[in-house]
Amino acid sequence: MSKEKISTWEARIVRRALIEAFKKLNPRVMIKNPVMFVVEVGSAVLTVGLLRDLLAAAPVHLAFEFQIVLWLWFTVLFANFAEAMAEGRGKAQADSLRRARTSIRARRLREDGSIEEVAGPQLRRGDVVIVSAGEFIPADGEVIEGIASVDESAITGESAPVIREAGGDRSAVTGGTRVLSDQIKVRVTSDPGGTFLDRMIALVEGAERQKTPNEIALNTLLAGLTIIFLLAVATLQPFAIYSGAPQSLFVLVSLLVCLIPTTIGGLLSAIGIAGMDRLLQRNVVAMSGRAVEAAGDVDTMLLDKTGTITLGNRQATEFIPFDGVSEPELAEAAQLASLADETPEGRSIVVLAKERYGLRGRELKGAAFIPFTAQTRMSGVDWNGREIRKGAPDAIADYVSRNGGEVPPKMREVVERIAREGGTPLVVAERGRLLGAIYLKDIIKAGIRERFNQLRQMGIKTVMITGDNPLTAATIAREAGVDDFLAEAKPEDKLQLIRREQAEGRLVAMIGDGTNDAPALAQADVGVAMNTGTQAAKEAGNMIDLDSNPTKLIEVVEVGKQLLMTRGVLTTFSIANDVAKYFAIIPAMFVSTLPVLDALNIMRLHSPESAVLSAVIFNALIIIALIPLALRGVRYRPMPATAMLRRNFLIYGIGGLIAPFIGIKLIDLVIVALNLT
Amino acid sequence: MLLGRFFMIVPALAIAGNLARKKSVPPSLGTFPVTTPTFVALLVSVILIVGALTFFPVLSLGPIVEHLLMYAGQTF
Repeated sequence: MSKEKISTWEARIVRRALIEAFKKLNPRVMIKNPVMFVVEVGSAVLTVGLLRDLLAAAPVHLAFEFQIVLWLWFTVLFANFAEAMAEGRGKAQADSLRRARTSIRARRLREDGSIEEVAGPQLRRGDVVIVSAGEFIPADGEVIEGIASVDESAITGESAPVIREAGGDRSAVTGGTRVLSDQIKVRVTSDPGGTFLDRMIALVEGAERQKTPNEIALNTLLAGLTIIFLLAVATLQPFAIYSGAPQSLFVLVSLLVCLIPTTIGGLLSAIGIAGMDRLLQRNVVAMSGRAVEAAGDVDTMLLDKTGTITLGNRQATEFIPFDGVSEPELAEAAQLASLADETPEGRSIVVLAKERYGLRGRELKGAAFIPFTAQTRMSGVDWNGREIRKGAPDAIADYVSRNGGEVPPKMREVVERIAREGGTPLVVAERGRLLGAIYLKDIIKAGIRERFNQLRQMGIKTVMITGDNPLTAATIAREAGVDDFLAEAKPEDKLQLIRREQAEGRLVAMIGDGTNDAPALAQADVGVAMNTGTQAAKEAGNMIDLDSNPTKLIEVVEVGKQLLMTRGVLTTFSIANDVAKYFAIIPAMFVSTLPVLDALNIMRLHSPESAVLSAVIFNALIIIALIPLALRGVRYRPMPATAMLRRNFLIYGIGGLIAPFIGIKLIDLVIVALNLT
Repeated sequence: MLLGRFFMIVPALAIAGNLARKKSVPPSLGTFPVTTPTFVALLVSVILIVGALTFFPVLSLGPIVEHLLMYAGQTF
C-alpha cells in the first residue's frame, strides 16, 4: 500500500463506479443478489409494459409510468453503484501496486556458480538470485546468505528501511521491494502469478471475493423475505379484483419493490467489501472476508507480551552476583555472552556493562556463538576455552547440573525477587559455575490497560503469551490487566491453548511472526501474521499486518465487529422502513374504489400516483443516502452486547420506522410542487 | 391451505437443523442473554412487524376496510 491515502469520493473512483454500475446490470451478475435481481426483473417487465403503452398510445398515465420505470432502474443502479464504490478504492490501490510490479531483471545463479540475467517472470520456485544495493528483489523469497537493508515502502508504505538477513525470523523478502545496501542471495519461494504482490492485487481488487457464511445466511433470509412479499403482492390482485379495484402492473411491481428489503439487499456486498477495505486502510490485508467476519465474533485473544503489552525492549538494569562472585566478574561474563546477541536485551547488557564497569566491546576471534532457541532457552559463547551461557533460570540450572555444578539456594531467592517485581531474570553461568543474575526490566505500554478494559467490556478474554516464568508473567499480567496468561510458553503450548479454547466453543484470534507461530496461526480462527515474519507464518495466517504492529489485533477485531453491526443495523432499518411504505401505497391503491381507506393515508399524500411514486423514489434514494454509512461502518463503542443492541435497536429500528414517513411526505411535496404527476 | 400450513415447516426444520449443528458458546459479556426485557421487546417487535408486513395488504382489503365502512354506516 502506498501511503497516499485514497479518498473514497475521489473523482476517478466515482467515475469508474458509475461505469461499473451499468456493467453490473448484466443479469448473470445480478442473479448473485436475489433481492436486486427481482428489482431488475420488475424494471425490465415494466419497461416492456411502458413501450406497449407508448405504442398503443394509451392515454392516461404515461408520465407516471415513465417515472416509475425510471426510478426502478435507478434503484438497481444505485445498489450497483454502492458495490462499485466499495470496490473502487481497492481497485485504485491495486493499480498502484501493479506499478510496483514493474518488469524487473534478475541475476540468477546457475548451479555451476555462474550468473545469468533473466527476466523476473522467468524465475521459478527454488531458483537462487543475487540482489545488490539499488536493485529490486524480483520475487518473493528467503534470504539464504547475507544481510541487507530493504526498502519495503512499496508494500507497507513504511519508509524506514528494514533489515533482512539469512536465518531466523527476518529472512523473508517480498518481490517488488528494493535493496538499499549490501548484497543478498535469495532463494525464490513463489512461482510467477503466486507472489505476495500478485495475491495482494487480486485481494484488494476483490477478484477472489467469495461470500462469507454470514453473508450467505443473511442472503437466504433476504431471499426468504422476498418470496414472502412476492406471495403477499401476488395474492393481493385476486382480492383487489374481488373488491372491484384491479391494480395495474405498475402499481403492483412498485409495491413489491418497496416491500422487499432492497436497502440491505443493495448494500450487503458493499458492506462486506468496505470491511476488508477498512482493514486495508489500517494496512492489514485480509485473505478472505470470512476472516474479517470471524474477527468480529472473537471471544479469546492471544497476545504476545513483548511488543503488545510491554515495550519490545527489556533493559538490563542490574547485575546481581551470587556468592563468591564479584560484580565485575559477572558483568564481564555477561558481556562476553551478549556481544554477538543482537536482541535489544543483549545489547542493553553490553551497554550496562560498559556504563558500570567500563567494559568495552571486543573482537572475539574464533568464538562460536550459540544462538537462542525456544527449545534450549539460552544463548552464549564458546571462546578461548571458556563456555559462557545466559538464559532462563531453569534452563541454566539444568545446564549447570549437566556440567556437574551446583545450584546455590541464593539463585532461587534472587530469581523470585526479580520475577515478583515484574522483571525478567536472566541467569549467567560458566560451565558448572553459576555466576549471577541479570535484572531485565519490562516496561508496560501506556494505555494498554484501558484497551484491555474495553476488550473485557466487549466480552473478549485476553490471554498474554510469554516465555517468562509464571511469577514474572503473573505480575505483568496483573499490571497490564489481562485476564489470563500462559507462562513459559512453547509453540506447542500455544497450539494447545488455542485448541482448548476452540473446544469450548470460543473463537480465537492471535498475531504472530515466527516459524514457530505457524501452526498456531493456522489453528486460530483469526491468525494475523506480521509482514516482518517468516514466509511460513505469512502462509499460515489469514491476515497479514503490513506494519507488523502487534496491537493491530485489537483494531482488526473492532473492524470485524463494526462490519457485523453495520449489516445488522441496515437490515433492521430496511425492514422497519416497510411499514411507512404500506401506509403510502395501500391507501393509494384502493382509495378510488373504497374512499374510506383514505383514513390509512396518514401522511396525507397528495394523490394515489404521487403516493406510489414518492414511495418508490424514497426507496431508491435511501440506498444512495446510506452508502456512506455502509462504507464507513456504524460507529463502534466498546460495550456489552445487550447495551449495544438496545442502542442500535433504538436508533435504527425506531429511526427506520419514522424516517420514511417524513421522507415520503417530503418527496410527495416536491412532486406536487414540480407538478410531476 | 395445506401448503400454507405444512409447507412452511420445511424451511423451519432446516433452520432448526442448522442451529442444532452449531457449537454452543459459553456466555460472556459479548453474548446476548435471552432473559432480559430487551430481548423480549426485540422478539415481539420482530414478530409483529414481519407478521404485519406479510398480511397488511390483505387485511386492509378485509377487516380494516370493513371496520372503516362500518363506521361510515355500511355493514355486510
